[in-house]
Order: sequence, then C-alpha cells, then structure tokens
Amino acid sequence: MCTYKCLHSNCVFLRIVLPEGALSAEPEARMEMVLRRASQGDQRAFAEIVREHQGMVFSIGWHFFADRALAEDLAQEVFLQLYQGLPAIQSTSHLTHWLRRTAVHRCIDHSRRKNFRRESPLEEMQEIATGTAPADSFLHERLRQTVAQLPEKQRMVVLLRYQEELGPGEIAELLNMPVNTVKSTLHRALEELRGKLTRKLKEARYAIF
Amino acid sequence: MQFSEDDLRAALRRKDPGEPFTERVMAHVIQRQARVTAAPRTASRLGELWHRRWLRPALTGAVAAMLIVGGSLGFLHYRNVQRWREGEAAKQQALVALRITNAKLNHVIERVRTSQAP
Amino acid sequence: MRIVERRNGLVGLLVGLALFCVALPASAQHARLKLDHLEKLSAKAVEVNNVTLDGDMLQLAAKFLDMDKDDPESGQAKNLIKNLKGIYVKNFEFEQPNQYSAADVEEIRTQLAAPGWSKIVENRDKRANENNEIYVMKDAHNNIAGIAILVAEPKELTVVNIVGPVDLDKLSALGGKFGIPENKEKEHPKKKDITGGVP
Repeated sequence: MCTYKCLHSNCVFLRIVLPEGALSAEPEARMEMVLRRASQGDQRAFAEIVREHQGMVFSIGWHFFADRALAEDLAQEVFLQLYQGLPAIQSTSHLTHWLRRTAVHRCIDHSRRKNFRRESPLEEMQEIATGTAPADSFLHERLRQTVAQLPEKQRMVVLLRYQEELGPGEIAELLNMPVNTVKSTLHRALEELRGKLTRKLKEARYAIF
Repeated sequence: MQFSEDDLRAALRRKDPGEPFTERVMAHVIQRQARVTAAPRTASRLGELWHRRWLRPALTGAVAAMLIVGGSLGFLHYRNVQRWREGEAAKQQALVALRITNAKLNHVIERVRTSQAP
Repeated sequence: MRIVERRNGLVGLLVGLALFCVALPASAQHARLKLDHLEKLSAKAVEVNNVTLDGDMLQLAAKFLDMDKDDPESGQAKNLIKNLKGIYVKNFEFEQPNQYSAADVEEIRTQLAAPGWSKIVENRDKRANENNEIYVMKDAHNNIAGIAILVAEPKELTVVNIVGPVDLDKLSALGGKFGIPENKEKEHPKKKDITGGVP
C-alpha cells in the first residue's frame, strides 16, 4: 500500500517537471571539447579520453594475446604515445581511428618480435569443462581462447570484425591489405575456429572420461 | 562445434580495465611531464667557465642563489600541486554529492507520481 | 511609572533585536544534521558514498568547478553550490536487506522534528518497505536555509543534508551525467569514503 502526503501548503516543489532530455551537450560534441582541452595540456581532459577509450585499446590487446598484463602494458604505451602526439589529432573520429590503428600495429609488432604463441593447458580446459558456468559463457570463454591461438593475421581480422565491428574495407585500410585478402582471411579464420573448437572439446571429453 | 557470429561478438566484447588502469596511465603522464632534462651543451659550457679561476666565486654564488631560488620554487610548486589535488578532490566530492542528491530527489518524485497515478 | 514602562519597553526591544540577530546565523547551524551515528553502517555496506563538504573545501570545489568552463556538468554544479554552506551525503548500499535499524533512521527524524524544519513530502510504500521524506528549513525571510532528503530502501539508505539556499528546481533538473549512478564497477563493489581533504 503506497501512501503519499504533501504536508506543505505551498507545494511548488511537486510541480517540478523533469526535463525530457539531458541538458548537457551531445556526447560527441562534449568529447570534441574534451579533446580540445587535452590538446591544450589539460591533464584532467586527457584522463577523460583515457577512460573513454581504454576499453577498446585494452580489449584489442587482451583478445589478441589472452594476457591481461601484456594487454595493459601495450594499452598504456598507446596512451602515452597519444599524449605526445595529441596536437596532431584533429577530431574525435580521428582519435578513435588513431587509437585503434596504433593498438593494432603495436600488437602485431610485439607478436612478431616475441613470436608469441599461447596454448591452453589441458588442466585449464578440464576446469572449464567440469565447471558450473552456463553453456554460453563456456562457449564464449573457449572462443576467446581459440581466437588467441589463431595465426596472427587471422586473429587480428577476427578481432577487428567482431570486437570492433569493422567492415572488410575498414579492416583492409587498417591492416594495409587488399579487401579480398581480408575476406578470404576471415573465411579461413572462421573455418579454423570451428575446427579447433571441435578438436578441443573432443580432447576435453576424453580427459574427463 | 557450432557457434554463431553473435557468439563471437559476445565472446569478444570489449572489457574495461577499470579506474586503476586510468590512474596508472595518468601517473606515467605526470611523470613524463615533470621530467627535466639538462641540455648537454649547457653542462659543457659551465665546465669551460669553471676552469677560469676568477669566475669561480661568481659561479659559486650564482649556483647557490639558483639552488635557493630553485628550492623555493620547488616548494611552491609542491604546494601548488597539493592545492590542485585538494581542489580536484573537493570538486569530485561535490559532483558525487550532487549526483546522489539528484538521483534520490528524482526517485522520490517518481515514487510520488506513481502513487498518484490512477 | 511611565519612565519605568518606557525603560522596560526599551530593554524588551533590545533583547528582541539581539535574539533576532542571533537567530539569523543560528538557522544555518540548525540546518546541519548530526549523522555520525551512521558511520557504523560502513562496515556492513558493500558500497559507501560519504561526502562532507563545507567551509574552505566547499569554496575550493566551487572554484575548481568554475575552472571547467567548457563542461556543462561542472557549470551546473557550480551554480548550485556557490552560495551553499555545507553538503553532507551519507549513502550506504547493502547486499542484504535489514542491515540498518529503524532506530538509525529515527535518530535523524528526531532532529528533523526540531523547530524550523518542515516535512514537505512523505511517501511510504509498505509493500516495497520503503520510506521517502523531504524536509526544508526556512529562514526569517521564508527562503530555504537547508534541505534534508531521507530515502530508506530495503538495501539502501541515503541521507542528504544541504545547508544554505539550495534551489530544489535546479537540483532535480540537473541533466547530462547527473542522476546516472557511477556504476562502472558494480560487479566489484568497493567503499568510497570521501571525508573532505586529500587522503
């Protein structure tokens, strides 16, 4: 039972109408302002840029390497590089594009230098297989791990397609590849993923039973 | 093993590393900003001057004066940085307080409106 | 007799004037609630927002908000707080219901029953086990000298006490990020105890 009482004889307050929309500027216009301030040396504004984009930059590294510490280090380097080159950034869309491009190329460079390869140990697979996690998050976890084991080019194409939702043309421009190569690489990557996942699940089943 | 494109999207959804990451980045940014690199040319020029005996007392006095002024400026800078931090913290507190107040005020308005609805 | 009456009258007038002068600033003092007894709830809460902002720190906050000229949120905030004397917020979120007692809330209501305070909104929902109240304190000129908002929900207790001439219309009409809780780390809750001054 819900009761309401207005105990003040002059209850002007109750006639307050909530605004229909937000009073502040559109998000994009606001980010343009933040970018301008950051370019002028405002560190608070730069911190806001970091907060806004750290999810994207970190996730590219994390999904590429499946290594949180490495992903954080690379993401940090990207933002420090951004801080040096802020005056050259012309707009928020340029900023997003620059961050994505820099993160991608840093990942690829690091991978080539270290010849990075990650294999999930059998114990980890067993844990996941016998855990009480719902089926879809088990699948997602396996997908993440398997993506991280793809060859470097396929891995990055998959990330850009499904994490960043970029089209083949945008991926081609980012990776300096012909569009058809992007499409065929994506096709092969998905085939590889299906094959790897099926093999891993069979191995896990044998391990359990 | 079958999976859909949506499964891939869900699996590869962006993850935020959180505020600790932002703080680490900003700590590095502030460090870089504060780093002062002495120009090698200045150091070698000072060395040349030091070899002229008659300049040594003047140079010693100048260095001492620079240290005192630099120390005072450093202290002032430290106080300014402290004050800036305090101001930032106070500003954030005010924003948090207003956000909560606005949220709760509108919550009450909403409850009242709901109770008035037929 | 007439001289005595005149003297008594004069003394009475002077006493009245003195009381009036004392009463004006005293209203600001009365508008501040004592909320220390709620501190013990911090240990049980999964999220705590504790703001105590008055005096120098409040002025410093207004100054820094003023410096963010391009930020509409900061501009709105600055306009709201520039004439205030104090902002005190205690917000506790609990994982389970019944983590605070009726006595905790009653102690605040007792203070709000003192002269000067008027309850302008009261909303009780027995089914949802929720009580919401808004009080104002007015000064001698019928202007708002303070407000108190008390929102007692099963898993959350919020007390807001603002001392000074607060504009309720502007406060509820804040746009942009206001009203949307900072909830980035809802899965990993932590306590934020901000008690004025740099830690």
